[in-house]
Amino acid sequence: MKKLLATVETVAAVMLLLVALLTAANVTLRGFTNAQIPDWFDGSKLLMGMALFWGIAVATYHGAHICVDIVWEHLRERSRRRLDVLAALISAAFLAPMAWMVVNKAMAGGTQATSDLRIPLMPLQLLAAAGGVAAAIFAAVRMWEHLRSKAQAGAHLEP
Amino acid sequence: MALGGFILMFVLMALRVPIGFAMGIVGVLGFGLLSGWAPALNLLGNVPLSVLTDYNLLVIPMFILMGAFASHSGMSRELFEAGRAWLGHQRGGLAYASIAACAGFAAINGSSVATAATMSQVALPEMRKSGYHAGFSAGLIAAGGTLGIMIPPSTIFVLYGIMTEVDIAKLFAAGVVPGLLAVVFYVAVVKFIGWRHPLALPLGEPHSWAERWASLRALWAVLLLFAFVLGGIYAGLFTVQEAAGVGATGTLLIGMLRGRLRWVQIRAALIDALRVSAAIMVIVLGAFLFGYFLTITQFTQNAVDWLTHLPIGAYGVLTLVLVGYFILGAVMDELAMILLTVPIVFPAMVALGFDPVWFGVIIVMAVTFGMICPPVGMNVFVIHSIARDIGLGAIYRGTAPFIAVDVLRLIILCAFPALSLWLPGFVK
Repeated sequence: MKKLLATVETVAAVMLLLVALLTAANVTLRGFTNAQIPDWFDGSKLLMGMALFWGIAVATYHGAHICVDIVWEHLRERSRRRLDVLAALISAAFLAPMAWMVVNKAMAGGTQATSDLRIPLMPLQLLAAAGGVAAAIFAAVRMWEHLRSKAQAGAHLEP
Repeated sequence: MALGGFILMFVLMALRVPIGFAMGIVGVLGFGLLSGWAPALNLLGNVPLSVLTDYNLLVIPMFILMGAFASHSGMSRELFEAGRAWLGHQRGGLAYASIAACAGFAAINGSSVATAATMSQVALPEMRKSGYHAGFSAGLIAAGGTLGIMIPPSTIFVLYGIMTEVDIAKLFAAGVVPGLLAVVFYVAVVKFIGWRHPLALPLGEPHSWAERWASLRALWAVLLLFAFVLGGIYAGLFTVQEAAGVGATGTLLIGMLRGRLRWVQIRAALIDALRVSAAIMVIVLGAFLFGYFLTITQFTQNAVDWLTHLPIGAYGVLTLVLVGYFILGAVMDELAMILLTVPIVFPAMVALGFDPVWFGVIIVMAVTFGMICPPVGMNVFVIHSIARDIGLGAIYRGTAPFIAVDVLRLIILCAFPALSLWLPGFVK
C-alpha cells in the first residue's frame, strides 16, 4: 500500500513539474518566435487538475490536510482516536458524493476537446476525477485503520 | 441561516474535520436546504473540477514549487550563511542573520509556513548551538516566517488579487515597503533584547572580509531569480501566472546546473510542493462551496450593507474589521480566513473609500497575527513539529515582542497608506 501511494504521489508531483516546464517553454517560445505551444493553456489546466486531485487523495490518506487541533490536543489518547474516526467518517461522507458527481461531470463532457489539438477532454478529466474517487476511498481506509487502532493515535497516518 | 452555517462549520473544524472539507460540507448542505438537493449535488460536481483546473489559481502551486526547489537546493542556507558572515560577530548577530535569511527566502517563496519551516531547519539549530535562548530563537523564526506572505511573491496576495480583481503586480509592489519595515522592526527587537538580556544572545565568531565577500557570491542565484521573476512581471514579459511557472523552472535549472538538485532532491521538492498545494487547494475548494451558500443567503450583501452603515466612521469600521481578524485568527487558518471574509469585507472597505491595494496589505498584515498568536498559530505549530523539545508556550512567549512591533507596524501602515502605495504607483 505504502509503495503504491508513494508511486501515485510521485506521478502526481511530476505532473506539477510538467506544468512548470510547459509554462516556461511556452514563455520562451513566445519570446523568441512569437509562436505558442499548441494546447499549452488547456494542457496546464488539466495537468494541474490531475496533480491536485491525486495530491488531495494522498493527503487524505496521510491526514496531511490543514486541521484545527484546538480540541484534539487537549484530549486523551482514546478520545483522540474517536475524534479521528469521526473526522475521517465525515470527510469520507463529503468526498464520496463529491467523487461521484465529479466523475459524472467528467463523463458528461461528451465531445468537448482542447482548443488547439482537439484532444478529447473526457478521458483526461476522468483521470483527474479518479483522484477524487481515490480520495473518498482513502478517507474510508483511514477511518478503518483508526477503528482497528493499528496505529497509535494515527502515528503512522500523520505526515 | 448563514449564522447557523458558520456555527456548524466551526463545530466541524473543532471535530478535526479538515478546514476545506468543513467549509465544503456546510456550503453544500446549506445550498441544498435553500435551493434543492439536485442543484447542490451539481455544485459538488462542478466546483471541484473548475477550481482545481482554474488557470488563475495555477500560480499557487507554482510559487510553492519554486520555494521547494529553492529550499532543497540549499538557497535558504546560503542566505543564512551570508547573514552570519556579515553580522554573526555582533550581539544577536545570528538573529539578524535569521531575519535577513527569512526576508531573502521570502523573495523567492510565497508561503509563510514554508519560510518558517525552512528557516527552522537552517537557522534554529545554529542559534541554539551558539547558546541563544531557544524560545526566543523559535519565536523569531515564527515571526520572520510571516515575511513570506508580505514580501513578493506571496500566495495570499495572489488569492486576494484573484478574489477582488486587484492587479496582483501592484499588490506585490505594495508588499515591499511593509516587508522591509518588518525587517527593521524585528532587528530593533533583537537589538533591544540584546541590550536588556545580553546573555540570551551571545556574541559569535567574527568572519574575515574574504569570507564575507565569498558569502555574497553564493547569493547570485537568489538575486537572479528574484530579479527575473519580478522583473519579468513588471516589464510585461509574462503574466503573474506564467512568472510562477518560469520561476519554478528557473530554480530547478539553477539547482541542477550547480549540482544541488539530483532526482532524489527534485522528487522530494516536488512531493513537498504537491502536499502543500493539495492542502491549500482543498481550502480554496471548500471556500468556493461555502461562498455559494453565503451568496444564496444574501449574507454577503447584508453584511456589507451593515458594515457601511455603521455610525462609527470609516476608520471605526476598519478597526472593527481588524479586531474581527484578530479573533478569527485565533481559531482559523489564514487562507480560510481570507477566502471567507474578503468577499464580505472588501466591498465594504472600497465603499468606505479605502484603496483596494492598500487594504490588501492591511489584510495580509492582519492574518499574519493569526500565524504567530495563540492558540492556533500555524508558523508556531510548524516550528514546534520540527523542534519538539521547544514547548508551544515557549515559542508563543518568544513571538510576543515581535507581535508587539507588528501591532505598531499595522498602526503605522494604517496611518500612512503612502508607505504601501508609493511603489505600486510606478506599476503601469
